Amino acid sequence: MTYLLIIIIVLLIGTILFLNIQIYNQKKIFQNKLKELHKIIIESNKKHALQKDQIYLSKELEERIKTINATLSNTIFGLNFDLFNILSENDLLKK
Amino acid sequence: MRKLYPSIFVFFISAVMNVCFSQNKTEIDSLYKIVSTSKNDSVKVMTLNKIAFGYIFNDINKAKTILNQSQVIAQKSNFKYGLNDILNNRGILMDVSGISDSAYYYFNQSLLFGKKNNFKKFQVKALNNIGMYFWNTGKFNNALHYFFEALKFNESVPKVDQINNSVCFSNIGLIYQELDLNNKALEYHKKAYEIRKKDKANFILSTSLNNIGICYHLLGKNKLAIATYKEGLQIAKTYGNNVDYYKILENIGNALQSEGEYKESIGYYEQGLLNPEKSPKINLGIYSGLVAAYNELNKPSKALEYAKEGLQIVKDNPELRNFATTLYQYTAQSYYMLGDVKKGEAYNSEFIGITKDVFSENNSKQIAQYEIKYETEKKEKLLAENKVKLLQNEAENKKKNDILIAVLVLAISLGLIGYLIYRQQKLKNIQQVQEFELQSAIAKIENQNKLQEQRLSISRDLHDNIGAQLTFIISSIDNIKYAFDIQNDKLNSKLVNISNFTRDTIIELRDTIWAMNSKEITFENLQSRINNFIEKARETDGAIDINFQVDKNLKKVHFSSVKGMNIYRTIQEAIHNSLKYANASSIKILAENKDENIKISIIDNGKGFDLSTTEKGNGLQNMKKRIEDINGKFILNSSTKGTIIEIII
Repeated sequence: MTYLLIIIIVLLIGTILFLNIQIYNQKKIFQNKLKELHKIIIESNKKHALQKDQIYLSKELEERIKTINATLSNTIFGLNFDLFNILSENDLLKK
Repeated sequence: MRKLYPSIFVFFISAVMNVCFSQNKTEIDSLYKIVSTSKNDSVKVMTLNKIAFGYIFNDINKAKTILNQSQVIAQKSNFKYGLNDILNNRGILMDVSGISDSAYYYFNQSLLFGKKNNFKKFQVKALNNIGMYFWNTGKFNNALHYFFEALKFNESVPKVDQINNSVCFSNIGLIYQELDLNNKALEYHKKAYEIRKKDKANFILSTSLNNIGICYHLLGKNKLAIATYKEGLQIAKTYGNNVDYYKILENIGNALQSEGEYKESIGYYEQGLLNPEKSPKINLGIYSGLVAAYNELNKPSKALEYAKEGLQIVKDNPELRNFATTLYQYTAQSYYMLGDVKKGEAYNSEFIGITKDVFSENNSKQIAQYEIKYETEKKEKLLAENKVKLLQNEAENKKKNDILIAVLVLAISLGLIGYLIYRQQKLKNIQQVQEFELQSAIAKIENQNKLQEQRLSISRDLHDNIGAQLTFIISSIDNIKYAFDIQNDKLNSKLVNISNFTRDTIIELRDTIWAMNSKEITFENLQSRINNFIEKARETDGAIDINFQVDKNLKKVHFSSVKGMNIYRTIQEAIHNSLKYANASSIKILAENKDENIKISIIDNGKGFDLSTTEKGNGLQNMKKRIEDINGKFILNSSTKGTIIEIII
């Protein structure tokens, strides 16, 4: 009876140890997985931040281009206007 | 009071005796049949011993022959247990034959043989029988010593090796009787009687009753004694115990004498003399009784006839001298009655001498010591037994506790395992949830990144197109200028403006694309870009002195593309303002480390402006906004001696 109990207790203690080791391994594997995922997130975030900066610059450039476009349009319009005036003054326009 | 003769059963040690004494012819035949048919020597020896024991009390010679026959077989087969039994039986045979010395020799041999071979049963028997030898020879101290030894040893051996304790109790009782300690004697005889009655040992029940009767008689309870004797007599007759039967007859005679029934007592004595065994010891007692009875009936001559018979027995058996006290006493009385004072005195002196020998103060002390020793040892044994029981209980309790602890450990272990399994599952679930959340987040970020990537891709295409279009514009204007000789200054100036504006736009576009394509911008990159810009500025205004100094430690410092771009644009704007509005001849740009921050100073020696009156134009506003967007500090100081712009990042 005593021996049987001792054997059962030893088996149970073995099971407890096995479960503890399994839990430890599970945690370790999960930690590694998390590290990988965190790395991916960090990389993605970096990429995201970089892209955000690029988009910011791009937007800024677009705004600037809009201004430049308007300025250039006005200047070209002025040039054309002056050109037509000269042509008109010299009666060079087609009739 | 006359000497009374108790029943002594040195030989009545086990149930075997019952069988032997109650053997009839058929039983003896069946025992002989066992001897003749058995192939086992041990069985043969033990059966022959049993037959011999039966004959010891009836036919001594036959008993001797059978014992010799048994000894031959036992020696041949080296059956030691049987040999020990033979030694014991030989001692008994010698005792019954009246050869006491030989009996003592055989009992001692039996004791030594038993010790040597560890036959505990025979050791007990031998101790008891030696005690009997001393009793028979009147050495009561020695007898009591051996009886107590036998009792002590008997109680210490395993049950299987024990003899019946009643034998020991009975014998101790007998010695007390001899010493006139009758109350003590009665106590031990009653103990023996109770055991025998319980064991239904009917054959020797009469022995105990005889002894109890004697005690009553000696205590003066004659009627009670006579009733006890008669009960014993009846039992002895029923179960064929002749020894007891004749002893009891004598004792009834003695008790009747004590009651004054002399005539009646003579009848019992005479019946006693019919004993076929003619035991000298019993007959000595009977003769003593008859002498006393006839003295009381005033027939001293008749009394002396019996006295002579008794004295002859003493003469023939000197070891019985101690039992002849009353005979000497009554013989002296007879002689006194006949007027022979001299002879009377002689027998009286003999009587006194024997009495003194038997009972002395020393004897009493020694006896008391034996009893104390026995009682102490008995108590010690009881204590030891209690201790053993206690230890057993403790061991049992310990075992129970151990089992309880084991069951508890078992339960705790099971609980722990259950908890661990639950914890493992819970952990798995939590991990799955966390993993899912992280993967969702990653997926979301990646989606956003993809979207941004798409947007950037579109932007790049757009920028490329714009770049191409601007280049086309510049190229077209340059072609117009060179293909046509435009004399109109206004027109020519406008074309130049467009061309310059477009060129500046392309530079701006390239700068932005450079910043967009750079993951990070170092101070070195920034310095190189600004230097390019300064070179161009010098091309426009060659007289200006532009100096750009960067602290060595800052060269490897890097910024994000937005941060780098904002710093670059701010410096560019500041130089542009100094050139365009301040008419500065010298511009210094200093980049240095200050209190763990980066400080960039743009200093010109231009005309400056009044900060309180001048409204900040788009340029200044833009500069401030750009620096604040990157969490920096924009400080502007201007006087007539020049303007200082400090950027702290």
